[in-house]
Amino acid sequence: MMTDFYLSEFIALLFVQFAIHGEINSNDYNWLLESAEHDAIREASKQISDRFANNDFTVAQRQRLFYIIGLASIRSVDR
Amino acid sequence: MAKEFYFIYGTKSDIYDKNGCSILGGDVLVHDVTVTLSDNLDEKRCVYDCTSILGTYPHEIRRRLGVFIAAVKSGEDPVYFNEHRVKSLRVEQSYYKSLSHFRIIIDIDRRDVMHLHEIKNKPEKKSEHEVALMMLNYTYTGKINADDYTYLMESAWDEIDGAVRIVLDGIDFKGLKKAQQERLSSITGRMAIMEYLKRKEG
Repeated sequence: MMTDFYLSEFIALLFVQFAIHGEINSNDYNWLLESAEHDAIREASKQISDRFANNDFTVAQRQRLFYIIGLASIRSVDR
Repeated sequence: MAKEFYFIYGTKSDIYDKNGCSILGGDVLVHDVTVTLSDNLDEKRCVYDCTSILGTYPHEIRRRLGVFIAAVKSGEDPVYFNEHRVKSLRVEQSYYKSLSHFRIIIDIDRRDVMHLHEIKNKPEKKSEHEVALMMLNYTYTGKINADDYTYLMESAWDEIDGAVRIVLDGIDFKGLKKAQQERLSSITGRMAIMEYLKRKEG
């Protein structure tokens, strides 16, 4: 079982993967939107902020990053 | 420790006596104010570079300041700096460039001092409902005014979760059009990450 730290690391990884490639494994995507804990999502977004600068992403990648973080966050609140 | 320079801070009206009257009166221009960390880490030093409009005024200024300096030294509680406690206050004689130029140096408790950008740029804190309204407005219209956008990106970190809950109390996310879902998701994600990024980039 993943600890909270690794869970948020994993979520951050999924966020970045989605941002860069525009897609992730469908199981991971469904888990992200349907099961990922809200606190872990927020922690993941902080980890990304800590590690990346704004210009590390292209415009399109940045838009995807914001989108997936926001979507996951909203879905976790909406459950 | 290196000196840390801040900002132009306040006005002459910041210096009050215990009765709430401005020490500097109405005929003094305070045209440059800087604040540094003093050597004592508990203090910050405010330096007021002043010009008296009337040539005879420096004497009066010195007299007034002298009264307050004496009061501070005697341990009374006579002087407030915008309601902050003044630890010491003096006029720097060497700074006199002419009769009408002088410098006032005030040491105050650093905990009571804000950076200018905090005073000038810190917008009034908005409630979660107000933040939610901005997000909803953007979600539906795709438009947002510059001030609201700046606020959401730079000042609404603490309100994100509450605002999202308020938004979702009012609307069915899955019932939104695709474009609206995308806008709400994007603005939420952008808020969640932008403040940290901006802060880090300084």
